[in-house]
Amino acid sequence: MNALRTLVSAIAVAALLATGLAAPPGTAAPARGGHLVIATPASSEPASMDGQVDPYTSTWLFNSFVSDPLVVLTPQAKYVPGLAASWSVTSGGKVWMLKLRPNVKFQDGTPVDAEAVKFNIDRVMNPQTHSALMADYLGAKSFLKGDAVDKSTVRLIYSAPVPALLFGLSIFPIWSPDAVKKLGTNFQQHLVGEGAYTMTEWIKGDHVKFTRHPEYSGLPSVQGHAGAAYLESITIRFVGDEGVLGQVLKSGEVNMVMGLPSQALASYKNNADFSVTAGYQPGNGLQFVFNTSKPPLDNLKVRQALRYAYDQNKMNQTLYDGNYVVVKGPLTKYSLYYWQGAENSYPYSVEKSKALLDEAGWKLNPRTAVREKDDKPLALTMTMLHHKEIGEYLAAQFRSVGVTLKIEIVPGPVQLQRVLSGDFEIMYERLRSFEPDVLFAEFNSKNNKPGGWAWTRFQNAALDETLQKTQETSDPDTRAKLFTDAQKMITEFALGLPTLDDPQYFAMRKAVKGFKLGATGNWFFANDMYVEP
Amino acid sequence: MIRYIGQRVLVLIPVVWLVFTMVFAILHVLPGDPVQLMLAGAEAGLTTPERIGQLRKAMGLDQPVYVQYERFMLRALRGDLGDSIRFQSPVNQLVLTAASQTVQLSIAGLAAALAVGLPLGVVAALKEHTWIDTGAMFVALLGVSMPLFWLGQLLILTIAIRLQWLPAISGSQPRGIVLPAVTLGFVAAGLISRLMRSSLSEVLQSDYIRTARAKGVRRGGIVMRHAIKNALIPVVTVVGLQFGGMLSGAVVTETVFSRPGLGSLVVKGILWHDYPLIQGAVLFIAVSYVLVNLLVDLTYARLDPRIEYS
Repeated sequence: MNALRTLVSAIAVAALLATGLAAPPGTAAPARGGHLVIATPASSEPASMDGQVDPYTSTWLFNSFVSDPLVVLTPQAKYVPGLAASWSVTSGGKVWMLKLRPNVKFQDGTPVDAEAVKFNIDRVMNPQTHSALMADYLGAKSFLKGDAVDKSTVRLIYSAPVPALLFGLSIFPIWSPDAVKKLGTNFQQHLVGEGAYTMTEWIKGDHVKFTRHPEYSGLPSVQGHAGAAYLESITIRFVGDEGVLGQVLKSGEVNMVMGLPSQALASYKNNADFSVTAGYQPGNGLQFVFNTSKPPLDNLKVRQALRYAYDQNKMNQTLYDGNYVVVKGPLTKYSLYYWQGAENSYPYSVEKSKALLDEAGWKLNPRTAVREKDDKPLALTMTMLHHKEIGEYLAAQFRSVGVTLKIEIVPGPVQLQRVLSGDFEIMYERLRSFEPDVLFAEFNSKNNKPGGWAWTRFQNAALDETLQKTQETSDPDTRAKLFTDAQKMITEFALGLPTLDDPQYFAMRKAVKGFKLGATGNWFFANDMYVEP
Repeated sequence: MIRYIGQRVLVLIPVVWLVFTMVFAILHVLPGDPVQLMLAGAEAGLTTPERIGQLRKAMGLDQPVYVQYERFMLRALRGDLGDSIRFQSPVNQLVLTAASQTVQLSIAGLAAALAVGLPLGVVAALKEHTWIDTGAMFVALLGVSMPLFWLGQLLILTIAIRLQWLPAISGSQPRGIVLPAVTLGFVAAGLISRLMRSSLSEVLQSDYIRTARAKGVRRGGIVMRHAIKNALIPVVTVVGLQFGGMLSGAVVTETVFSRPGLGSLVVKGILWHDYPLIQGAVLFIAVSYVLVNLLVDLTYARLDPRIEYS
C-alpha cells in the first residue's frame, strides 16, 4: 500500500499545484462564459470521435466534454460516483451491479437509464462496432451479458473477474441510444451524450468544437458549482507542425496549448502572461524493449550490460534541461503499485557493463573499438517513432563500452509490422494506463501473438504466473504485491531500456482559470473552467 | 472540338479502371493487416486473435482478394467508394471534404505563382543580361531551391507570430489561405519565371518578331500582342503539371499550416492500410490530373490558332 500512498500523494500535490497555478487565491467568483481555444498536435486528432470505437486517450478526453462516465477517477486517484450513484461487486468479482443517478437526461432529451447503459455496453461488445480497445477495458474476453434489472440498475455478468473494470468505466462514454440508431455511421460526427458540452462541429484535420449544454444537470463529484458548465465553447485546433505549436499561444490565436513541445518550455516559463502545468503520466514512459528471441539479446548478461551502460540523469539534463522524468523500471513513478526499488537498479557503471560483456564472450577489438564474438561485431539496431535524440544519446554511451547502436525512425504502422514479423532488436514500446495491467499485456508470454503486446518474446514461468495472478484477483493489496514482484522480475531479467518520461505540458494564458489535472496526467473535466475577459 | 473533348473524357474510363486495379493490387501485395494496425494503434490493449478474426470478418477482409475486388468495383460503379476503415466514415465524404480544401489551396497557390512568376520572367527576358535580369533570376532561384517547410515556418514566425497580421494555424478559415498560398506559390513562381524568361527570350529572336519590328510596330505591342502569347505555350504545360502536383503534393504546406487536405489524407490512409480511403483519394487525384491535362491541351488551341483539335 506504500506505493499507492506515494502515488496518491504525488498526484494530490500535482493537482494542488495545477489548480493553484490556474486559480490564485483571492480571485473573484468565476464569471460564466469565455471561449477556450486549444491548440494540440495534429497527431492527437482521433480517427473517430467515438471513444467506444477509437482507442486513444485524446478521444476519451474529448468525449468527457460530451458524456460523463459511470465512474469518475478523481485527481486523488479515487473512484467516485459519476452517472452511477453506487456500485457493488459479488461472486468473486464476476457480477457487477451499477445503480444509476435518477432523472438524468441525454442532450436529445431521452433518459439515461439502465436500458441506455445496457445498449451502450452491448454496442461496445458487438464486433460490428469495431471497438478497438474499449471492449477490452470493459472485459470483453470474459463478458457474458448485461441486464437492465430495473429502470436504474444495470447488472454486468462475467465468467472471470475484471480487476480493472472501474478504470474502464471511468473512460467509457455513454451515448444516447436514439441518436446512435438515428445517425448510424455519422454518429461520431455528432456525438450525443448527457455531458456539459454538445459537439457542434468537427472539420477533420482542422478543428472540433464543443458548445455549452445549457440544460446540463451537473456532475456533483466533479464540479465545484451546480448546473451548466462555465465556458461557452471549447475549440480544439489540430496543429501539424511542432514549431508552430510551440509558438502559437503567443500569437493570440489560441488561449491554451495541450502537448506543448519541451523545446518551447523555456519561452513560457517565467513569463508573467502564461502559466505552464506538467501532467505526469502513468504507464511505461519512453521504454525500448529487447527482442529476447534472437542473439545477442537472448543473453541476459548482454541485456544487463546495456542497462549499466547509460546515465539517465545526465541524459535528462543534456537533452531536456531536466524537464523529463527519469524512469528506471517498467513503470513510471506515477503509476499505481509502482515499485520504488527500481530506482536503485542498474546504477550507471561503464566498468560493470564492460565486465558483463566480457563474461558473455564479447571481446573488444582494439582496432575498431567494437566488441566482437565469432568475428561478428556487437552491432544493434534500435527502432523508434520519435525522440531520436534519446537514441543518439544511447548510441554515444554504448560506444564507450564497445557496442554499436544504429538508430532507425519509422512510422507507427511500420513499427507494428516489424513487431509482427519479429524483425527488430530494440523497439520503442510504450503503453499508458492508470492500472498497471499493461505489465500483464507486455510481459506475459501469453500475449506474444498477433495483436498482442508481449514484444520481448520473453518466456519465464515465474513471471508468467505472477502476471497471470494479477488478472485473477480484484483485491488491491494482493494486486499491489503481485505487480511489485512482477516489476522486480522484469527489471532483473533486463527486458528493455527504460529511459525517461515526457510529461504532457499544458501552457495557457493567465486569463484561463479552473484548469485541473486528473490522475492520469491529463486534464480533469472542463466543467469549472472559464476564461476571464 | 466538342468531339475531341468527348473522346478525352471517354479515355477517363480505362484510366480510372487501371488506377483502381493498380492501387487495389499494390495495397493487397504490401505486407500489413489493417485490422491489426487498427487494434495495435491503441495505447494499451489486450486483444485476442478471436477478436481480430471477428473484426476482419466484420470489415469483409476475410474474403478472398478477388471477391473483395469484385465487391469493390461493383460498389464503385454505383458511386459508392465504401467506408474508411480507420475513420469509419464514407470515403466519398472524406475525399470531397479534403479535396475542396486542397483545390482551394492549389488555386490560390497557382494564382500567387502566376502573379509573381510571369511578370518576373517577362521583365528578366526583356532586360536580358542586365542587373534586373540577374536580380529577377536570383529571386527565381531562391524560389526553386527553398524548401517549402522552411519558407512556411519563416512566414509563420514573422507574419503570424511576430507581426500578428495573419493566422499561424491556417485551418479552413478564408484569411488562413494567404500564407500557405504564398508559400506554395513562391516555389512554383521560381520555375514559372525561369521558364517564361527563356521562352520569351527565344520568341523575341524569332523572324516574325523581327518582321514586326521592321514594320515599325512598337516594342510594347510586339511583346504584348505577339511574343507573350507564343512564349506562354511551354509555361502552360508546366503550370498544368504544377497544378496537378499541388493537388496531390501539397502535404508539406498542409502540415506546416495545419490545413486539412488531400495529401495528408492519403498519407494517413497509406500508413494505416486504409484501402478504401487510398483508392478513393488516388482516384480523385488521377481524374483531376487527366482533366487538368485536358484543360492544358485546350488552352494551347486558345493561345496558338495553328493548333486545332478534331
